[in-house]
Amino acid sequence: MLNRRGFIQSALVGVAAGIYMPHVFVRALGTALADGSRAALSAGGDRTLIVVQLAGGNDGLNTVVPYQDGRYYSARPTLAVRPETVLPLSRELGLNPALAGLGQAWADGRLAVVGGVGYDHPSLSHFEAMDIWQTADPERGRQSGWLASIVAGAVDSQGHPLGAVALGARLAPALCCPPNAAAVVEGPESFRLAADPRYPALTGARQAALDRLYRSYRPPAPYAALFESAAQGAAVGIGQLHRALEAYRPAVDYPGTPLGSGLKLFAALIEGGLGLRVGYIVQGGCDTHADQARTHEALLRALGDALGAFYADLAARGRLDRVLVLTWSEFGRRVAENGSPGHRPRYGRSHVPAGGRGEGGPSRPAARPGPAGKRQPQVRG
Amino acid sequence: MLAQNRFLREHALADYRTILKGIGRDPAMMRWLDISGSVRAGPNENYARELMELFSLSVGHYTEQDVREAARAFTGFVVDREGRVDFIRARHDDSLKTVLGRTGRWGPDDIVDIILDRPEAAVFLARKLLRFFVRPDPSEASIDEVARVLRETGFSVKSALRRLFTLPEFASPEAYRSLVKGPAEYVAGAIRQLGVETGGSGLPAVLARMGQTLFNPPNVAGWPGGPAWLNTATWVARLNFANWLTTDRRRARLDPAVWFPAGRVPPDPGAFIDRLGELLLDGNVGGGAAGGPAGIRVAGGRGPGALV
Repeated sequence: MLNRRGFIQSALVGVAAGIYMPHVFVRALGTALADGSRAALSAGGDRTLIVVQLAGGNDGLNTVVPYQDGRYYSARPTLAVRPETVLPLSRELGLNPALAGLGQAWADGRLAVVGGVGYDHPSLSHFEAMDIWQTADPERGRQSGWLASIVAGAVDSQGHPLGAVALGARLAPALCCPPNAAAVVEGPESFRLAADPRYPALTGARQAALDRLYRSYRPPAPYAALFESAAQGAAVGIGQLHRALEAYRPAVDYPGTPLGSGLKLFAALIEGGLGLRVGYIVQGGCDTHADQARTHEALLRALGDALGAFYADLAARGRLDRVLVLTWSEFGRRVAENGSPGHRPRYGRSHVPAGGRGEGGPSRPAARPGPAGKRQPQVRG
Repeated sequence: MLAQNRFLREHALADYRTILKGIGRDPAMMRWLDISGSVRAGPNENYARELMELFSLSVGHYTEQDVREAARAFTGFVVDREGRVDFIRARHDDSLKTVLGRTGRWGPDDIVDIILDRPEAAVFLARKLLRFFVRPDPSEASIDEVARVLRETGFSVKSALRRLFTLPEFASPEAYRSLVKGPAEYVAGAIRQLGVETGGSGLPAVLARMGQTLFNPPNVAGWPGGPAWLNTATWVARLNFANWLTTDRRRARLDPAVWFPAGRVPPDPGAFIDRLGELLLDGNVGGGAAGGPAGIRVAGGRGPGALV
């Protein structure tokens, strides 16, 4: 049986290592890697995992569409994605047309869909769901995030603050909290120290004075280590990040969306050889309770276009084999529509890893409404 | 959220019973946790669960069955687009419910009363207050003492805080500089302490870069606080705010004269720096946990000396 983090990690290792995995093999691989998965990931050397979190509960059924399933269409008379518009992946599943940006990755055999991922007895509480997904522990006993051990091996205080980077103002719990924390970067513009407009030459001296002042905060003060890591990480990381970004000439134009700029920054860090092992970015607004169709389509378009640009950029540099992108969301949506044109959260969801050396493909017939019209998790944590 | 903020400000020092009952009738809360629209035929458990988990007891002190039963007490409410709350009796479940071992035709307020009768509720709130005002890891003795005051005063927050601020632990070396100020505390605190005059229109964006978008907490548990405020991005945002506050004379008017008695700025730079140290770091510029005159340490964790 897969334990705790087993599923996600083994799935990642599997896809990155170029194995096409029907779910039975995911399970077998998971058992084999139950204890060795961390070592396997560490052995990845200069490989990079980019995680795109679709926060709020992405509608998996309208993302990867079971376009031959009559039950899907009868449950969603107005919100279903029409079968003639989907981008077919198999005889059963197709992508929402707004994800056309992923078409090349699919054609190249580098896109995989892992459907029906879940755990027993989900309670529908966003709070609990986030807790479980971020720690990969359905028992809710774990404090640290599922990526924490990878971050711990990637970030150090000896000049490598950008081994793991989360975009935004908050650190995703999935990355929390090894002693040398992942760098958090709100955006390249704000990730620099402003100069004193009147005495720019004194900026360095002022910085040194502040450093001295804050150095008085040391153990046993409870957050001394974290503080040191954040302050040092910023001091070193700012220079590294801007040098990498200034030197970077992307092979394609990225969309000007937050996701597009974020992935471009990740590409620059990868190309800059700064040891980026984990990049984490959140696309919010997936909690589409009302006006689902248009909102969701816009979200998927932003996702597909940004990932498509990232894919083309990496492909042009021959880096596809060393980068894996994983998208995930804490839940899907109920199969049936409700009164307002939107969905209530429900169990089903799809996780979409792309890139890596994977021969892509839907790794199982995902997203199938069960007999009771309720999606059952098919892979359990 | 504005209404919720006003409610919390008005009742912050009242008794916790009033706060818990009121927050269950707060339109923003009712919407977010689906009290609104929850009906007898299909009660939504979200609010009942978070009421026990996040606001009063914490996991392990109630069962899923308690959540299901309590959820039925919160049925029948609807919040309209304007935030008006309506109670539709026909949709309310007024049958017998058994919550935390007590059976009756409980409504929303009864559930709060039943919860607060549990000994764990006072301990829960005491721990929360101590973690916020004193130190991240308060002693069991302090928790028990504040919990006792809560129980004996009918959950008076004011009485609990009065006791808390006079606890030996509040003035202990362990509590000194043991908390991380939240962005709002840091920004508003710096502006007040330095007597800066500013319109403040840019401050919400500044707070957002520090990880706190006011009126938009990540979820009903609020901002996690503590170490979660500290990362490379928020650290840079804090330094840049301090820079802005002290250099942008157009939008942040700062006059050092207000820091000195009778507005007389001393000619000696050393005296100037000492005064700034007093204002911002209670005179303890370099000593860390062990330093500082004992009389000033009474300021405790969240006094002017709190970190950043």
